[in-house]
Amino acid sequence: MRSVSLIGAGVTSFGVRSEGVVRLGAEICRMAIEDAGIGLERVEAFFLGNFAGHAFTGQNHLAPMVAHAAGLGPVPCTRAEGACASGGLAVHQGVLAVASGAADFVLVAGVEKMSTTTTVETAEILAAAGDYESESSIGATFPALFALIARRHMYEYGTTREDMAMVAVKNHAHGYLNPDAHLQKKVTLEEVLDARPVADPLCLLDCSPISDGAAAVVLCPSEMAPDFHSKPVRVLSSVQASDVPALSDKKNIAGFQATRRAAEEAFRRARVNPEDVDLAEVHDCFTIGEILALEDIGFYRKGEGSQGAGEGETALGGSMPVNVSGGLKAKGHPVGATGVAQITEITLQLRGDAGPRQVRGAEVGLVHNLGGSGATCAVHILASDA
Amino acid sequence: MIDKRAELSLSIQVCPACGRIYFDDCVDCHRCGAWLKKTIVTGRGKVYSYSVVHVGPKGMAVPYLLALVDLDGSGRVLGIVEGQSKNQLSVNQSVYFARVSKNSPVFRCA
Repeated sequence: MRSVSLIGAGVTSFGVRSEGVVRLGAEICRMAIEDAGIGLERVEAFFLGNFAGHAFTGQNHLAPMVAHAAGLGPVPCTRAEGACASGGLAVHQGVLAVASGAADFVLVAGVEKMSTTTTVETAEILAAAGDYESESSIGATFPALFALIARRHMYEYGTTREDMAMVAVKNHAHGYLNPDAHLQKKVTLEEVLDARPVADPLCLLDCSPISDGAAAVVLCPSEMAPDFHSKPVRVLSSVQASDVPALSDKKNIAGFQATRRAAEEAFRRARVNPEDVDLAEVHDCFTIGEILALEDIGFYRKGEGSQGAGEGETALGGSMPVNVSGGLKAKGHPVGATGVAQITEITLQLRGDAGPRQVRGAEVGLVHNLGGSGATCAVHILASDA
Repeated sequence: MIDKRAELSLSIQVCPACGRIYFDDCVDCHRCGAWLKKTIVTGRGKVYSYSVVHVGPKGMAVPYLLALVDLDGSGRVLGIVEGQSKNQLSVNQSVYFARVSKNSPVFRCA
């Protein structure tokens, strides 16, 4: 297998966007291609992360539509869907295509347009990522599923509402520094704790917002990368893992088996250890999600993940900053775009181009993208290639 | 019918292959296709985790209580807990099966 590097990256600002889903996708594709310094005609394959184009906008079959609108040639276009991990899966497929030698230049994008539906409709569309028969059909919305997870984590490890709220406080402070973030405002611990309840113990400010947005990256063999970008970023590992979707089928819900499997294998293949990682973007769809991710990836022992935000270790300036983009929590969570946007954030950071939220001296970054209530997980470990 | 004061007996169907529990009369597992096995349980169980849901799908009155329940002598199921005002549930609390709604169990606190 060939080593793969990132030579182009782009992300739209997240939030309520006036553009439609195809145009959002096409614009970010062109931005990433321009960043890579290659012509559109060099692209040999296109992968698109998108969760629910049809439910949100009436439009399915988005990969060739976005590709055509972006001006790509008649190349193979494939949509990857793995709920909130759709973007991570698209990147994984792109990495495999280059690594295998099937293509030299691959464009990967992720897009979601979510502001077209009401909040209740959006919640129902998202709930379809759960097990319909045993969960969504009886009122288990996604906040409810993560509330069940949070409650169990509280019971097993003594995690508190304040511990979770601190994740929101930290990630909002990061989002405040990101001009592309959906929620560019700081929040206080009291504001998070006093927010209206959504699914107890989770309140409104424990939940990521409903956002429109898109992100894209360009991949090529590492040996060719320096010809196109002065600061290429190498993909040290790209791993995907799965688990049973329904919470009732999991032995323990205070952690995600798919994250553990993907992270363990990603570290093994990258030949790095958790302590070698300088920064991470992890899947904080809900505040408890970040705590679980930090434990399951292996940055913290089980039950101690809340130390990260609580003691400032995962804040910008801390020993290992997590979600300096603002995370899903503050940057926003356009579902299909999220996994790709996490990669673009780490790419910017490893290039040293992240502006006021730059993690100084960042050389190794980890990306964790989760689908559903832990059924799908993609983990990427990236390193500066300078 | 179930009477919480009497000795409880509840007939459920369990998939011998994947473990999924069914409360309706289907004969084979909707997921893996295996023939379901009729199993008699007490209908009692313990709360593994729960949430008071304040924002629900269209047509569902809020708040409602959702709980993952470990059924005595069987596996874990997700169901609604009724007859309980909010914040009156806890992990490990005993509940008993009350009825079926939308092919899923509805529990009440013991």
